[in-house]
Amino acid sequence: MSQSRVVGAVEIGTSKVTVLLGEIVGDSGLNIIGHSSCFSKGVKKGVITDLKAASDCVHAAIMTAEQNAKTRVDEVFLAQTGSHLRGNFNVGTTNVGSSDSIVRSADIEQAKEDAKRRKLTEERTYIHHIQNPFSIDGQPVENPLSKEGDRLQVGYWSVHGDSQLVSDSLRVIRGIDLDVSDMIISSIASGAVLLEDSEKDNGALVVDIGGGTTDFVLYRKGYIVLTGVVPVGGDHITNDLSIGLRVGRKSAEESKLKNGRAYYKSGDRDQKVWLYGDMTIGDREYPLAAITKIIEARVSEIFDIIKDQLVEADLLVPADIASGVILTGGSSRLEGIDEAARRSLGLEARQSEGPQDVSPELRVPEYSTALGLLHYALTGQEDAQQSAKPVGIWNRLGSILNI
Amino acid sequence: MIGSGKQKGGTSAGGKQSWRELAGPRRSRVNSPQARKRRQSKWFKFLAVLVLLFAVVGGLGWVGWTFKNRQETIPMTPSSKPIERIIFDTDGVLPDDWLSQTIKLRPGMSMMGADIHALKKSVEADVQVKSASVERVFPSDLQIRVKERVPALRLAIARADGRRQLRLVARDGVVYDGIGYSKARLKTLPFVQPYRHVDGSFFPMRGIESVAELLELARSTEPKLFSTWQVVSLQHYSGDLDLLGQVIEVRSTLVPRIIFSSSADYGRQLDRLAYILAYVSNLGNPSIERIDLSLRGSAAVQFSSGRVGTF
Repeated sequence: MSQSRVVGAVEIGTSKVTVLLGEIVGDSGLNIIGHSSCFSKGVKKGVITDLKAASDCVHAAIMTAEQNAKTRVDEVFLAQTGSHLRGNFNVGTTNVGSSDSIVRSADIEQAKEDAKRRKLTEERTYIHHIQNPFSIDGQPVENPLSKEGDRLQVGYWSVHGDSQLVSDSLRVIRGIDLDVSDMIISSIASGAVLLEDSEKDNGALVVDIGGGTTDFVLYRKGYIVLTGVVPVGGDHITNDLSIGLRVGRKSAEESKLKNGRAYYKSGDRDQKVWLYGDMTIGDREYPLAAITKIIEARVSEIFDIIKDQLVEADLLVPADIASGVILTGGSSRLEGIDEAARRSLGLEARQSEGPQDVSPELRVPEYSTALGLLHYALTGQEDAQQSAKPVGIWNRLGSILNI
Repeated sequence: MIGSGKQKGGTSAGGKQSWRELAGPRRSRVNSPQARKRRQSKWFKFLAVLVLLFAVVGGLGWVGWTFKNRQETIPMTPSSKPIERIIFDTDGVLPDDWLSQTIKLRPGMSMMGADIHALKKSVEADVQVKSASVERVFPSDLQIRVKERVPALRLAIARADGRRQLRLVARDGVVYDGIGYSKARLKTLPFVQPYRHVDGSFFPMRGIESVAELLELARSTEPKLFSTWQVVSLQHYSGDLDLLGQVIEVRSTLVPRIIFSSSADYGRQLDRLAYILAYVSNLGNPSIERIDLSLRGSAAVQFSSGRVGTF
């Protein structure tokens, strides 16, 4: 009989908390057995600012998902976002130890350790060490074991965050007596579920535009070479519309969804749109240009920041990003967002299509991060440490009896 | 599977300064009403399972216990078979008539219909029965085994109407009617004059076992002498062997009063008695009034002439 475990994928977003429950049967089977989402509280720009409010919201979402699935979560995979996340590229180097210049396992480990050796300040903590290709005497190699050479190098893209903020999100989950088995940054989770291996090999930029932040990840030759978080998201667009049109946030959000477009066209100047469109008192007409110009400004800002980071890292090479830009996250539903990305980044862009093997209601951009977390729950991170879950008679009994 | 395969190169952040080292103290977790509810529900479920577990174990135990205790009455053969024969087996003298009057079994009663516990009780209700066992012998017999009390003495009771009633006294002091004994057997039993208690009553009769021991020893070692014993007087024998000066007085056709000490060896006293009687016989059988064997180290013989000799 195959053993099964119930994993929870939790994304604490600025505007929404999303929980997906998956039952992992054996080593390769995953069934999505429950999901829930609720409006987020106590979170600003992807960072928890009010622990109590955020906990109430997250705990309620987890319990709702558990009730839907009629089971209990065993472990949680947590998404991490926020502008506190930073990345460094570190290169580890070692001289091949053997006299015959053949690379051995010990050399590889030595190079890896050297790359991860960089110490952070007290208030920072590592979330990912993402390995890049090896090179022997400057020549890239996929697997250096048993190859000949004198100097072995390996690069690591290391993502780290503010210890206090990371700890806060862990405390929220631990508040409901659950352990976080793994933490994955939102962009990597989304990328894992939206891209095929071939797209990663050809190079792709995944941009996850959420409510308060925009997370991105760049793949080159199958490896993650850059991640980043832009502290601007869909909520900022809504806010700009609210100020620019002098309407409430709710009306601005409705107008964004109904009439919004991510870029301005010359014809927008002459086209008029109703604010509410239901002929209620206070409804009024606006030129469409008023809306699209406001949106375009913010969307361009997001992509320009991403572009700056790519340029700074010397990674904005269209030939190395042949699969283009894949847009996901709730705000990627905005009309013309792909065109806006194309114009700003100078790369091919498209809105994401969720994985085909999940139900249609989950095949939407809002769930891509949570689905990615489940992907990691199933496949695991290479070299990932097993969560230190206590194994005792009561835990086993509890697991058997589902309590 | 959702998404592509495992990320090339891996993405884990184990080791030093990893987020995994950010385990705060348990009390620092953030509580919420939902978390409390979840925790309570978890405990409630746990307790419910525990109670259920105990109930199941207890239930199984009870069923096992009940089964074990009901084994005796579980029919092993068809219960419709009627009792055809009652086998009565006694180590005493109780006749079959007595049994048929004592137990009442309706005709055609089935083997399993007979309440053997009640039958045993009714058989043991007669004090002549010391113990009894009732057993079903399938297919159709009921066997009743009886151990009877053995009489040691006869007791004559004068009723209010002046008539004399005979009772028997068993070794354990139980007085009973005595059913089924032959006259010849009864004649061998000496009468007893019981000890009168402070309140004037004769019962219960204590210490009869010791008296019976004397009588049996006399019967087996000095049968001729014993056959002359007519009355055993317990007027100075309360049955409490710890009291000093307790004597058993025997009245026989040869010697009117023979006094035995209840605390001394009966065998030696009987030997001394036989010696005295033999000695006296050699002297021409002078008439003896009393032989006191209860004295320490010697016996006193009081002749009818008034002379007293010691042996």
